[in-house]
Amino acid sequence: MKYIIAVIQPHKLDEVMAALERAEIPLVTVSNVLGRGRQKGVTEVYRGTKEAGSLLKKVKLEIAVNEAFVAPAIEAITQGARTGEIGDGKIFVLDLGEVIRIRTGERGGEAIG
Amino acid sequence: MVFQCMFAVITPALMIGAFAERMKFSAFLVFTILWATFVYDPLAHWVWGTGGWMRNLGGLDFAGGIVVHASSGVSALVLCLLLGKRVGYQKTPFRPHNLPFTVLGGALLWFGWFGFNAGSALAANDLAAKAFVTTHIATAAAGLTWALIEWQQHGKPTVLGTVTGAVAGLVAITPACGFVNPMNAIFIGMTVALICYLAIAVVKARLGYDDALDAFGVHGVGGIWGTIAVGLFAEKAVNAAGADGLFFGGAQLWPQCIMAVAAPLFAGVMTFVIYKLVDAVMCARVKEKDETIGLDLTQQSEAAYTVIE
Repeated sequence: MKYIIAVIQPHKLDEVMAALERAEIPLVTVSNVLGRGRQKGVTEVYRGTKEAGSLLKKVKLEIAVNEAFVAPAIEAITQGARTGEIGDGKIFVLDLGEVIRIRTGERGGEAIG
Repeated sequence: MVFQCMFAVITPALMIGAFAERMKFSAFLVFTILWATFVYDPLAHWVWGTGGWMRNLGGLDFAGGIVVHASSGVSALVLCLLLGKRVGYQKTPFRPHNLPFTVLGGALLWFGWFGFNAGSALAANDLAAKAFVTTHIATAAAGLTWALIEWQQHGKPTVLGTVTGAVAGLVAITPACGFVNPMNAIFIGMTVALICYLAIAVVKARLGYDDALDAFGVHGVGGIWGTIAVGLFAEKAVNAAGADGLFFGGAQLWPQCIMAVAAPLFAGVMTFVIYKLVDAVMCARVKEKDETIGLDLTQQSEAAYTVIE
């Protein structure tokens, strides 16, 4: 089992969701986050005074999947989120120790989907 | 009576923006009462009261450019310097937290200002209409000019800049609105945007004082320029009770310049004295820990914004 965390551009969320849907991975947790990468945010100007780069709005997706779905999930996110420009975001894949479905008490691969 | 009361309360209120997030609420209240009594009240009588020395000198201030804006703007600067900078100023970015509110506030000011300026004719007559027109047109010119300056300097005009420019226009036309013609009102609006832009973007950046809302840069500088502009552009053809400025063959510039120096000087010195007094008795600045937590929570025990996103 893997835990996939993806940080993407907010305006690419719909495309990523559609791509995940096509890959039959409908389960996802989405949150609005702030962050910056190597582009160091955007310079802002207030009353003629420049303020150094601030954090940019991003969207974070979290998906727990069984091994068979790791590659399709990464493929779907990449396909939906890529523009080729700086700032497209990143995908992190972590090992997942345990999953428990609260309603039934199922554990592991059974509980994930 | 109520009209004059509004002038008296708005003047110390103008300063709040300068020392935002630093001053103790209780100390601020005491300061405001003392300042209104010992700075605003004498100034208003000197300029507008029968027998006031600035009025006897021939000084003109239609709706409070020197009495309200220059005096509070300069006092705001003195307070900024005495209170010191906010923790983290120039190290971490301080961004205006809500631009739609800025636009809403700017619009309310613009609208409310007609009451102050046109209302200072003290009658619903043709002079009130003239003041109304010059107020509107100078403000529009100043907002537009500021946007154009930013466009040239930074490649993009901004909402905050346009609103700031418009307020600077309102300030500068305040002493002049009942004495100048609309064409010169446009010129006053354009020049005040340029002067205030320089004061805020260049001079403030060099000197490094922390005037959060640019009360000095807009109200102080704009009020002083507007007062001097009366000495240049006033004409009796607009208001027979006024005078002719330099460009209309008159000698109005001299009393205007005396006012533009004397009033800010008086306000600045008095602010210094009142601040020192308040600071000695009740310690004006909040504790650093309280400042870091935020004044909403430490002074009032309430959060201003409970819904995010």
